[in-house]
Amino acid sequence: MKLIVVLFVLLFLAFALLNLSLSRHRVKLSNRAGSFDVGQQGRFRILGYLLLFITVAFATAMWGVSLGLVYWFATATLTSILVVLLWTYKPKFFSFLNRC
Amino acid sequence: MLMKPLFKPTPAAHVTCRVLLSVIGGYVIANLSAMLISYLPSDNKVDGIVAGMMSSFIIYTLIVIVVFAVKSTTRAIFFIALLVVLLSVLVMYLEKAI
Amino acid sequence: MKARFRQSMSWLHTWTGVVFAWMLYFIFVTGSVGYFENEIDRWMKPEIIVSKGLEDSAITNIATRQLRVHGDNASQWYISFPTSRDPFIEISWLEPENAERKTAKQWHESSLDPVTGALIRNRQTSGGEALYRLHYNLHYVPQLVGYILTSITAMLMLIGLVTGLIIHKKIFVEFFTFRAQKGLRSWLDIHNVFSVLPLPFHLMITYSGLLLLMGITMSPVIDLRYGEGQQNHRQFYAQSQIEQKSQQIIEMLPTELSVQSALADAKRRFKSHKVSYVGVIERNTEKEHIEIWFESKSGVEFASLLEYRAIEDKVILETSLGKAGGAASVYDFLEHLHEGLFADIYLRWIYFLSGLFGAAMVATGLMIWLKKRKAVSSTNKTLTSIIERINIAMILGVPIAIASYFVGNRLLPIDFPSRSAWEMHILFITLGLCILYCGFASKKWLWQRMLCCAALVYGLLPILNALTTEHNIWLSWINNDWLMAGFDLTVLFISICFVAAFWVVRCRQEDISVKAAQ
Repeated sequence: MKLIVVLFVLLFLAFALLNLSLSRHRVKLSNRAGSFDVGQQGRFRILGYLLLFITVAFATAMWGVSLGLVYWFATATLTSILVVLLWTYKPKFFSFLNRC
Repeated sequence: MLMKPLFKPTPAAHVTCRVLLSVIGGYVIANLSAMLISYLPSDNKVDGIVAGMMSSFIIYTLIVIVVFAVKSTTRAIFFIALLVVLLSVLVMYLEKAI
Repeated sequence: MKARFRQSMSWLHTWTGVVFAWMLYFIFVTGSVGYFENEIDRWMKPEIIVSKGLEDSAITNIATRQLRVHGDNASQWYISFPTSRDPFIEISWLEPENAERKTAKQWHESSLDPVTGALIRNRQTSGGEALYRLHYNLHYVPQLVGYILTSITAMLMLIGLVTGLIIHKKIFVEFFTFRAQKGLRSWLDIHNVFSVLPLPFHLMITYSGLLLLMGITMSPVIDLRYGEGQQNHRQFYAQSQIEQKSQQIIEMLPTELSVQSALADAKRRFKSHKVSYVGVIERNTEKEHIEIWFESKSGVEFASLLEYRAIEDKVILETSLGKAGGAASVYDFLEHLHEGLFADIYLRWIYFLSGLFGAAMVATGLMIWLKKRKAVSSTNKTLTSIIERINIAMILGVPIAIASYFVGNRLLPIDFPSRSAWEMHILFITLGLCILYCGFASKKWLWQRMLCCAALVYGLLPILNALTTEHNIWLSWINNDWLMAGFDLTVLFISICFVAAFWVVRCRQEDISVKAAQ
């Protein structure tokens, strides 16, 4: 159970970062939640992909390859949809990433 | 009927032809290639058949895509006919040889 | 060249998606519900008594006693132990055919009262199983026709997925994009979200679904390579499923071998695993052996199996090591993924949600198609209107029909003749009524009225449960009867979702009429 929470949070962060690393999307946050540094985009992308990689490694280490990948894909689907919904209706939620 | 004109003059006959080609031709080719693949593992016939049937659906998908992607309907007919002949000759040869 | 290619793929995507879309939607919804087969079954058999804290050996005692009474001449016995998904004791036995009474071979099953050990007289119901089977046998049509129709649908779905991937130009850039309230743009966006984000699930479920029925759809391959006829096909199937097994002789006398001793031995070997069920196979023959099934802890296997059999003066223990063939192992893996029997509660919910996303993908795809069709002036207005009406009837009618299946379970009199068949009839009658209603009612209010209806019927379920049985949300909550409470709360939540959808549609329509007035 704890493992799932860890996986969930990490994947959510990964997708949130990747979402913000898309230039078109960043503008939306800048408009609505104050300033946003252009240089962060690259950092966000690298960090996002890194997190994706880490979570795959984490899941396969914890549950074995087959079950680990099932957990990873399942959680990825759930978290990415969550990111889409939050981004559409509550974009300000992501402004906490502004400080990174 | 169509939303966008696809084939420059869009006579329904061309579309029907491609649909029939992809559905029937695709099914025949999927079966033939499954048979062909089933000969690959020489030591385990049953497993070969399983492998063949499993790949047949991917082949079916590819055939359908190709039939609709090629430029002219004539070319699609030619392509399907060629594959059917080629595959069935191969399968018949293997069936006799083994 | 590239533009033309994309255009032809777009055409293919549209039509493979639309042709069997309603069937696909039906399959997605009923299949998703099927992931909660056991939980639904428990709700549909409210007489079941939940068993808690009983030792496995005590359960075995109770169960074998009943099996001796009711299934002494049966060739197979199974005892299932209480698990989190089925928290009750159940026995089943295979009664051999009886020439005198002219009955065919038949499985019987019954749950047991954990206190008295007596059989529980459950109401007659089609249960969760029939609902789950709907997604590949389509109930009324002959089995073979059902299999072929679902396979064709799945094949179209696979082509639709692949062509969808080809035509989606900006799959990474628009990965998270949903632009709300932008008309057709929003529908396209949400269609992408429902297709791309659960794509691994969609591809897996479609492809493995095709594989599960490949013995039928691709039968010419078996005919040519293995042999024609049912006999050969059955033999082929058995041979392809052969498992590698390890055998060892254990310290037990054949006379000592019984369900109890095998169970005790298995528990000694696998201390951390929970036994899910045990079986006595081919009873009263030379091949009689005992199976012990464990809840699996690793991989996507549902359960791992130990077999005990007495051969001459030894007892041999066989452990399964997986399928012998390489392709068969891949097939096995995909089959397990499709069925998701290994899934814990978290994965099970995601399976269910992903299935619903699939249904939503089909539904939004249809909406886009209709919108585009209506925009073209040359289209046949009546035909489009009929399709639009049936569309609403299917999108909301299928969930309503499933709820009516549950209503039927609670409201049909207990002694109603062929009760379980009628539960299923009710499902399809309701679906038919939905289509009929949508065919004739005023189109302006159709969405709202159907949503209202869906919210009502789902909201009704927990109330019906409380009125007609001794279970209600409150009591189930205090008694820790999570399956009962879970079902009631879930349908209540679904009802709330329909209410929310109703409000959204209503506000939208008001906006539009205000704008029109201005």
